[in-house]
Amino acid sequence: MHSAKRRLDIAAVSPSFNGMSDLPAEPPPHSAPQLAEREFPPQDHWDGVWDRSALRRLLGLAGPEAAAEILHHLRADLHSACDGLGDALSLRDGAGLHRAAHVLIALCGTVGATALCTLAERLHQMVEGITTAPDEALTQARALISGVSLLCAALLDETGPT
Amino acid sequence: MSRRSAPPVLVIEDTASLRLVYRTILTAAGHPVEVAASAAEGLAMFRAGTMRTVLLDLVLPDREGLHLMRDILAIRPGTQVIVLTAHGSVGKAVEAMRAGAHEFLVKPVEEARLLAALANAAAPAAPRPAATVSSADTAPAAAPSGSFIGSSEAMLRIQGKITSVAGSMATVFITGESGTGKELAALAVHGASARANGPFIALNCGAIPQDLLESEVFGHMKGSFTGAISDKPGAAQAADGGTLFLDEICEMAPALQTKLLRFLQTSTVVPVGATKPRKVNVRIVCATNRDPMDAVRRGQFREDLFYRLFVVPIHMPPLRDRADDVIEIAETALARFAEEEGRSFDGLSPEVLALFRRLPWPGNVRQVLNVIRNVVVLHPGGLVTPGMLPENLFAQDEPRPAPVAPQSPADQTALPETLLNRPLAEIERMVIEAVLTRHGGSVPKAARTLELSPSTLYRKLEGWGSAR
Repeated sequence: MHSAKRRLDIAAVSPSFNGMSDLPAEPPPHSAPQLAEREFPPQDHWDGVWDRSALRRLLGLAGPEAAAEILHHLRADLHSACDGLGDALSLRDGAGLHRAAHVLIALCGTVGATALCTLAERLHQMVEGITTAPDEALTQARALISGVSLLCAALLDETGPT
Repeated sequence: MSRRSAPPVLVIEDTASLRLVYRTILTAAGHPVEVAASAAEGLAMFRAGTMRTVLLDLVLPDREGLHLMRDILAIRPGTQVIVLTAHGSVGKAVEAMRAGAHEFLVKPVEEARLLAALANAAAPAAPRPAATVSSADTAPAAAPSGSFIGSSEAMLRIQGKITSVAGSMATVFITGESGTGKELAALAVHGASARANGPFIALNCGAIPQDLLESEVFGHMKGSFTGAISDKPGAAQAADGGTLFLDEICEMAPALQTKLLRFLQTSTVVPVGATKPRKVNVRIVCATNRDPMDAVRRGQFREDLFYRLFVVPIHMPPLRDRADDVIEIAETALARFAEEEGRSFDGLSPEVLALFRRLPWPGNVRQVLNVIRNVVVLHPGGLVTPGMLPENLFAQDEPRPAPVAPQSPADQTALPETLLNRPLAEIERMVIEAVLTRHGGSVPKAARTLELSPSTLYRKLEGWGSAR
């Protein structure tokens, strides 16, 4: 079972995220990249999907050193949750998707990525108590992975207080 | 004691960044903090330390957070455990509240909400009352007489629940028919809590016009609308440091439900016309005489708000389900009202006792009190006999046909024989009077049940010569 797991290097995932060829086929109403772009669009369109004020206030409270540590751990935890999401996605593992979505709700919400947080909440609700994830959940999970990878990239530009 | 010298807050959270975030927020607010990344580490630190407040993630890699909380409370029962859970897992949080958690926070947790929860947890607990609220003597002073009397098993369970929930910040959701004592239960929760010396503000969401309700709950600023001639604090602000009781919560308009949800999440209010939120520290107790889940299913009540509020449910049983309590309530009320009116009664006759046990009491405790008040006011004293009781009470004593499973579509539309032999106008009057009795004489409530405007109902009552 373990050998079937795929590891996703989020840093290497492009916004179009095309590394899913071995995953179950599904007929999405919106493709994952479309959904991802809607939930986390390019930098010029962050209004309403990423409110960085709470994160910046938090980094300000922490001070320069701790702010860097927080940002480092936020990116690491986002990557790790996305890895978990990718693993669960490849196995259609409902419980795994639920676990990963649970973490992403808190992380995306904490950094102010409200639309991604909502997407994670939807996925979390969709796979609640479900063993084999439905196609719709897989589409949501793909979109979430793509969106979070964009968020991780965007977080690299956050430096915290200097 | 300054915060720095207070025992540290223990944060048990397995996600490293969130651990750091909580530590940063709490440290910046002056709370000493210790952190643990797993249930095992957290329990070891708790055993070795002096912590009185624990911020606990319910989903941990090595153990259920709920089990860990039980261990923590077994080691030091006074510990205030604030549980953290994700949106959509509120059911777990509800379970945690019932198991003794002080409060729950839904992730992502906002800074203001986290600090408000910590402040609530740190507030000194008021001494618990020595007795329960089982008798009129120990009930809060503002409580209507007689409503909370009763030694039936159901009432003892409710009193026990009120005592155990009073010390926590958990939202209490009281359900029950009209007249069962929902507000009294809310008062009892307040009276037994650490907030007993704070204000108890009751607001009937069904009695205030919807367009004024927002201003009533959250307040308004001078000039924010026509007639706002000065700043006015809302009920939420007035209840700061105490309890806000929202009666008939299911009658709240959807737009206001959204604002109430926001208020519950952030502990801040934004008065109508204000630009800045104001922080308040309020415990919410709410009530309804409807089935709240049904209101959710019908889309009349937000599901997320329902789960936020429905943490500790208390159901007030109708009086017909606790027949012996009727006698206790009636006798207590008779003694009390007789004293108030300067009369002397010798109790209830055996016929009255038997009748009271038989009656369905659709208006519940409120109806019993009204009947006894009527007797005391209209009679000089002596033994209360059936002849002294209001006439309409006997209409409710008519034997009701035993429920029979419908055999055919025709049976399903069958009506009681008592109705089939009467003119339509008389049936209308009977139904309206029965609904009025059920709602303790409240015309607005009866009108809502009958889906009539109150003015129509008043006109009909005046037409029958029974205007109130």
